[in-house]
Amino acid sequence: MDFPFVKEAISSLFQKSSCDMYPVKPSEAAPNYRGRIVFHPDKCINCMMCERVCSGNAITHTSEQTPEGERITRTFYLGSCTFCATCMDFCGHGAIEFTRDYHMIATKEEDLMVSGTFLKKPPVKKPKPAAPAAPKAEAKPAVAAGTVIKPRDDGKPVQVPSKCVYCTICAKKCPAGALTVDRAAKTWTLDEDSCVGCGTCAEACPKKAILMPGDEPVTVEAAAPAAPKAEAKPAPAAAPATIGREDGKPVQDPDKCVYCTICAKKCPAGALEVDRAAKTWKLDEDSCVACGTCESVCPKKAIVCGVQDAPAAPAPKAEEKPAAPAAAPVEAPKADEKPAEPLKPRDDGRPLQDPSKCVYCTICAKKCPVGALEVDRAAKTWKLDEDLCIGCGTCAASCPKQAILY
Amino acid sequence: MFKKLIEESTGKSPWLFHINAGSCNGCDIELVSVLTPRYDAERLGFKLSGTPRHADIVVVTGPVTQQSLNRVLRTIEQVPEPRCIVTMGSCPQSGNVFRGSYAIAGPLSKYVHVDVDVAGCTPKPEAVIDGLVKATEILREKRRAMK
Repeated sequence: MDFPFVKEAISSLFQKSSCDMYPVKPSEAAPNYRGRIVFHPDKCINCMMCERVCSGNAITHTSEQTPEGERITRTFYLGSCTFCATCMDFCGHGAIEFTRDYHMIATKEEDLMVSGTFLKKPPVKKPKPAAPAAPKAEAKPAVAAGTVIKPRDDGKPVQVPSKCVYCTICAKKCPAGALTVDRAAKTWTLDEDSCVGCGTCAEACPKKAILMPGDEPVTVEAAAPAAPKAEAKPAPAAAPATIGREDGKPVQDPDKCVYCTICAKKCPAGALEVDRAAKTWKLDEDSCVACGTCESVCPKKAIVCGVQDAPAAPAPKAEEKPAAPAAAPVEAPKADEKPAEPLKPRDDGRPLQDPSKCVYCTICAKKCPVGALEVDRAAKTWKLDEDLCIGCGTCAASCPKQAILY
Repeated sequence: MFKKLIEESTGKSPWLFHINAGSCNGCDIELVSVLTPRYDAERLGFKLSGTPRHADIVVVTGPVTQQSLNRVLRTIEQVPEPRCIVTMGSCPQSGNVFRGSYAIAGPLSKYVHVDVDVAGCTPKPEAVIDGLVKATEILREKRRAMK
């Protein structure tokens, strides 16, 4: 008779146990294990990001007004925590730490509470805004032309008054509520204590008027914004040579406009009001930040932002060119709009910009699934990261001007 | 004397009953892994029982859904005194990410007295062993108090 496991059973008798022997022999968690939370109240600036991102509502705080300032106690209830560490990721100051301690055994609820108290002092003086003299009533004249505005070292934003249009988008996007922007008074104020240096304001700024560390310093040009509202919008065919306004705000072409309301929907500042039935197109001059979004989204090209050549010129221009260079390379299959150009699509399947057509609307950069395109509207640059580009053609398909060869 | 022997041995070998009250199964898997040879809670006397009537320790996982609430309470009632209720993971302690949902009746402590909370999402098997050892101590005290 065969005894199948006898040999193995006998030899196992003399081997080491495969068991971990845990309570007898302490065991350590893996290096990146997220266990008990440790809160460093001295680092916390009460930006509340942790409370906002916590999916289990495990983070709460109580505050108490004292003569020295606001006494804030932040509490982490480990019994409601998923240990996802999102709070730690969002904490710009490293006040939340996940340790490798997993022994979270409690017989009372208090055993699972981690809390810390800190004092938030009231701002001693009116927080000095980053850019010099920004809060003054007339911000722009206060900054002399030629002044160089540098990003700050402490990671907080700096306003470039010459570019800022006081659209308040940055203040609305600020997760810590550290920005106060007054459109009427043209002030931009940063609360130094609340600011967490996250950079959301700089990202949201349609005018790139906020500098974050790593940005290039900006030289203030002779301030010439807010040009007198030059050609009023109800002047459709009035301007013979050029159309558009000098201040970069949109001008509608009533002949082309179909009142589709797309521009109004896309306007980040909500400055456009379009009524399809009544066939009206209204611009709120105060809200408009002259970002050019309406121009780029208009399917009928009925909006012009900034001064441009008269409408008669641009369209035929493209067709005139092809006559001269007779090279006539094989065109992009879908590009039926231009028969011949000195530019020809690249062999490696990556996109190529046609600078004569490109309006630097940044749509291609936004649509690029791998973020390989970098388009700067102000600097009129179009950069392709050759390493990132996967040659998918999304940019070419999304280009409203067919300015990308693919 | 025979009775004393039984009491002595039940104190040393508490049987577990596991209730899933709408858990995502993360804690359930970890609880099972506690009983595998790697962590081997059975060497400490713990044994998973098939019926609540044989159990000493009830381990509850999951946020206690409306559907499971009645079943959980009825099952816990069937466990003879002295019994010890252990919540495993954040869900039965607070509802965790499911807190505030219309389908959640928890936390469990609203309905029954919870003896030990094992926090974590999910707790490490070592933490579960810690919690069970703690539950055994509480069970021993309860048994002593009943005499």
